Amino acid sequence: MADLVVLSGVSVSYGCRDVLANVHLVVRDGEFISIVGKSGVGKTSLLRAIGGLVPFSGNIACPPRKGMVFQNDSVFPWMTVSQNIAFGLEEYDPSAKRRIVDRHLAVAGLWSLRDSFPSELSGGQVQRVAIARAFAPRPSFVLMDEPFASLDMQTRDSMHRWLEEVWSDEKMTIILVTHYIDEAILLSDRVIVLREGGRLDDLKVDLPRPRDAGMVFEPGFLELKRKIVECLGV
Amino acid sequence: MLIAGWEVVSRSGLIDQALFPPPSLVVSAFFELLGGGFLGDILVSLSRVIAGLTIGVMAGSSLGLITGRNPRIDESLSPMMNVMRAFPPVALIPLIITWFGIGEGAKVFSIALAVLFPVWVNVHIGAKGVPVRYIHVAKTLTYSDSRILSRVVIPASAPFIVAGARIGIAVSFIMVYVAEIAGASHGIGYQIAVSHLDYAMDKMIAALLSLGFLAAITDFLFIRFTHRVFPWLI
Repeated sequence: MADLVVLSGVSVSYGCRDVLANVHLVVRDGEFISIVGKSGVGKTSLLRAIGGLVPFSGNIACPPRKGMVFQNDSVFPWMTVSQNIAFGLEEYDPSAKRRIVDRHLAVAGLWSLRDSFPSELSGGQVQRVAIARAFAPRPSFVLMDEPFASLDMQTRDSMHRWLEEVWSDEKMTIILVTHYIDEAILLSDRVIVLREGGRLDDLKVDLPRPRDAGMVFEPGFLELKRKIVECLGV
Repeated sequence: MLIAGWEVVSRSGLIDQALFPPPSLVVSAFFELLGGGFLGDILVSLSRVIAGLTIGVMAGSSLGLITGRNPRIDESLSPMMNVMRAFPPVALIPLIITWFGIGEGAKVFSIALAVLFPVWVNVHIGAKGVPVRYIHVAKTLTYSDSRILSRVVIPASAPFIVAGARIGIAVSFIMVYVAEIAGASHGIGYQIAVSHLDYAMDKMIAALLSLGFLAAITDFLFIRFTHRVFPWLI
């Protein structure tokens, strides 16, 4: 797999406060990686730097077209489900746009809700819209900032299965920031543990796919979780 | 019940009917006014309100979007706007008449000026408070600043534009009344002033109620329009 996102000595500061220092990271095409770390260590800042949303020093080499999914409420309340998914498709002609939106509506299980507004949807459905919107324009990669943090456990489990299926079908590169170690292991090819000062631990996930919540008691899963916890120092 | 009570009290002889005419007399006075060309007065007042309201809402919204989204312009312009909006617009009418005369322009300008400030405050707050994640979603999809303004900032500020416009409707009817009693030969305010001078309380109340109903109908129609154009606000 070719290198898609390459970070070299990336630092982020807000005023005189350094939140991230000298991060080096390579994400390969088609990879699903998760970034975990203690609160305030700079996970979201790292994601925003990759997204070009905050100023940074160092170098980030990545394709310009990217999708982004936030924790909650990033779906536009003034647009229907279909209009939200079509938001990144402005350059497509109407028939191509409709075809892409219809496909993503079907994949996300939102066909019957295509003309609904976000206020009429559940939390899980809203996040499906956000993910479908990020995937629809076929960006080179998608950044996800704790997209399932506000969902209950059952909904989160079903969203994990759905996202793994979509990722596998779309062959998209995903960089996910999460607080949940189980979520990181279940979804990712690699888990990156971000430590204070920008130090990274890179842990490969060798569990077979597809994965489900039942795997969290398997020895391989538990061993990896133990290593991540050790890296986190909790 | 209220109207029946008013009729009974007024006809009981407890209060002078000349001061407090019963609703039946007010209704007949209304038809008498209509026979004397009151419909023309209504249309004149309504046209002044629509012109002033439109200009005030457009100018207030534009200024609100500019100061709400541009911190530098906000810093330089908003303090001046806050001082100016503290002036009671009604008190400015004599000055406006002195400067611009008693023509249509002065009346429309008075209404527009009074509408501008509440609309500006609302839209300024709305535009400033557009969630940054909405902007980030558009930026990661390579939207330009002008597209972000039209596709994200303005729709996200729509509830505040609507709130400002509704306050503006109420203000515009107050202002048209004051502008017309200050110097006019037509309009509902003019009829109220003339009826007052004639000591014709029935006609004065009929004209006053007409103004109130017109304001209520305008607000009702605006709400209907809002629900049609912004269905997610329901």
